[in-house]
Amino acid sequence: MTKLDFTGGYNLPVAGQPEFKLSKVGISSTMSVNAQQLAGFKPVVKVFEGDTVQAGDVLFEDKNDTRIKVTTPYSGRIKEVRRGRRRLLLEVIVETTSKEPEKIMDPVDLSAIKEDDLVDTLLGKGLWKFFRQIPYNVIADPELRPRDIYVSCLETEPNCADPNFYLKDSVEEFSEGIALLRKLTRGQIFVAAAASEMEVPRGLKNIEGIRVLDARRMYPACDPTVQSYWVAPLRKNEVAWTISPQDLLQIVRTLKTGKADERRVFSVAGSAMSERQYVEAPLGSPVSALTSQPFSENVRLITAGGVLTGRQVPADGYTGLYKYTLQAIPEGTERQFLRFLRPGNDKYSFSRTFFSYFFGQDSYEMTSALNGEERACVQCGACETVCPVETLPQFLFKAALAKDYEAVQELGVLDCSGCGLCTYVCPSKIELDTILRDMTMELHKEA
Amino acid sequence: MQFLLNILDKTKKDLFAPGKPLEKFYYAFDAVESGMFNPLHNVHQAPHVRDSIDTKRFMSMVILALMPCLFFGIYNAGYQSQMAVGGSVDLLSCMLIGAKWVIPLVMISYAVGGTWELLFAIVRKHQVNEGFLVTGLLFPLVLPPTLPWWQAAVGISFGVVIGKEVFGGTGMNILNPALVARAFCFFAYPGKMSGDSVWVPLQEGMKTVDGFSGATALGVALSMKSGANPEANAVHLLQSHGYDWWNLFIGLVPGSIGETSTIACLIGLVILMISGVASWRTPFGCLLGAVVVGTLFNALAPESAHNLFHLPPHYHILMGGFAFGAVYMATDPVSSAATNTGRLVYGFLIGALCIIIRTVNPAYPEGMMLAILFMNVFAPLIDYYVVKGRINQRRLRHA
Repeated sequence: MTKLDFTGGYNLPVAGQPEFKLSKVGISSTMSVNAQQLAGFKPVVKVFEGDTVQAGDVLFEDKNDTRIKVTTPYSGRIKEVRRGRRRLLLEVIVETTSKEPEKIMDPVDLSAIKEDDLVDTLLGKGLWKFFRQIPYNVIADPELRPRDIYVSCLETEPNCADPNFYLKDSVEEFSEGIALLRKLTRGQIFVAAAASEMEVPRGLKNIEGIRVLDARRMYPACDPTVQSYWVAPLRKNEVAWTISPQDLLQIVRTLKTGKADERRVFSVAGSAMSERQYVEAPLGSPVSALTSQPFSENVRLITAGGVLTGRQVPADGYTGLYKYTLQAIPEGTERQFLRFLRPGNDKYSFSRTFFSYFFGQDSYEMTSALNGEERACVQCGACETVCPVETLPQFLFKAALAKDYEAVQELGVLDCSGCGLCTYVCPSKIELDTILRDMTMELHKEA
Repeated sequence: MQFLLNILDKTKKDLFAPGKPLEKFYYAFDAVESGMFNPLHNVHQAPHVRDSIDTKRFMSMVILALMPCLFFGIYNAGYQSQMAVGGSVDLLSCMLIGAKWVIPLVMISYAVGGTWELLFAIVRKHQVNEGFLVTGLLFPLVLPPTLPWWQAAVGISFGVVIGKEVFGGTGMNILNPALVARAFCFFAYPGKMSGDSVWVPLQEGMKTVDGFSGATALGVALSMKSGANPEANAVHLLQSHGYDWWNLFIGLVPGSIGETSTIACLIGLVILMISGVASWRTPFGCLLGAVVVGTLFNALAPESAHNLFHLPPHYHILMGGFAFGAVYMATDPVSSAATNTGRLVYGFLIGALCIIIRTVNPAYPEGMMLAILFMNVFAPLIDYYVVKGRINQRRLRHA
């Protein structure tokens, strides 16, 4: 057992936690297979709109490594191949005829399968996309073997799904997943979990072959990039992999039964969500499957991460990958007279410039308002204080804007976990997170 | 307040929107509008929530922290003026007389500097930066109350244009603009910025009382010859001119408007520390630097050295602009070192340099201004080495 200690980090008191109750929904009439979130992946689409597909058929594959396939777990008809700017593939929408998880392969004996067969199966059956690589935070490269693998059974981002809730009945399957991961690395398998025994599913910390990381509930302790930086920093040319516990469970279930069992437990939360709860639904479910609430224009919906790391999704959109959550927060609509001179008991701030710091509430209904306007960096140093991987963001972002590729790497852009804290605290409203992420992807392209 | 918002919206639509007659002055209008009502922007990328703080709030905190110095400065200008002629020193008359001298300087600083700021915003088509609100108040507070108004206007113009705007505005400047403005006045109009006759505003047609000199504590300390037992003598001589420790600490003494009172600066420091707008490291470093160098000079200076060498550090830090500079000027985050370690070093060197300039080169008894400007230039170098250290640490971690 190792203690995960780190400097920086910050817990945001965002209102709207989900209640610990679970409702279940099945496969919806349209489902999405996401491509947008597959970082470092250049999709080549193999289907056309209107095509009929069977569960397990390939939808798209990686241009750089055609072994990495993404398949449809559902039979039906291709409703839409949705593209964004510069014709970048966002997602493929399937009109489903499946009602239950369908068979996509023959069941596999988990204990007997060899490393190479395992890799080939994962690649070919669309399960590879769940492995992401540190550094760069991109889809894992099948050519490389990871020195370590991180599975974070801890959630510290506000209002995201609590692993203690969704893992409590699946520890057995989870440990089978760990045994599979053992075949992929000769290094360590780090499983981060809350330090308090009460907040960890029974038996999780006793699974064989893992190294438990005891973590404080301090955001972003849940992030494998942060864990890796503090616990077992990578040397040059070494990589580590990460996989989220729910994705690992799917791999185990799919290999064991041969069926595309895509179910996930989503946290449906946020202050603008009327019924806050957990919902079990298949991967790629539409927003409307998780909640029947009609959303007004002034509500911001966020998926594939909480308010700090997620992405915006329209009310008629689909949920994303890796972090299973759907959150709704109000948009900022208020224009106050002399706002910057008010005591600000209701205005939450990392700084101590509002009265809320001294006489605050337990949680705040935060909006998506920028709360200011972009200015030049005044070197206040707030970003340095919250950075969980000891970078100096105020220097790092300037080097990134100047396209100084050497300096950004020396300053630790590859250690950046994209936690979003520096961007949250910035009084000059500089989009550090986006600047650093763009730089990371540029470096990945060069590498 | 909705009616005001409606008026603003209508004015924007009718006059300042693209294609309307005052389109060119949009950013001037924007400065007024966004000052009155917070502008409404929503973010569309992660993180989807943002902190309530913005640069307006940030700079407001500094203004708030400057209030004790401003009010004390007004009172003290009146107090000195009344003392010089033997008039009544009750609160009201001191405030009224002081305001007559101080308020015009503050207004000139804001009006002239603000005009430049607006002009640059309009020509460059960018928003007006809030940093000027601080510069515009810092500058008059480091002036003698008697400075001719036109000189103050020229000074702030130089500070805003050359000290800041030519570099690209707030956040891009190398030197503290308020100090650049003061330095300009100091070297361009030395007769009105130094000496014994500029610190006390004298009322026309009234005779000064016997024994009135108008010299600052620094001026007094410099002019005196020391004899045997120089250290005790230095303090004794100061005291004999009415400058004992408590007097200097409270600050009812001649000097620049906002600089005389150490206690007012300390109240400001508390506000800056509580709000976290300034780093504690810079003023702490200043204090440490002054104490170390001051003590060294006390110990090492020969008896024949002039009086300032023998002045103990706990007097040095009360005199001149030391406290004001350490609290308000050195902590300006833009021109100071940007790393935490760097700020300690930067502060220390300011304190040390200030004492060195005062004593070794007594032609400039006001060492603080020069020390800070000098260290502003060196701040990036300090940061360079701190960052280099951090890079090496990271390299070791990944090795």
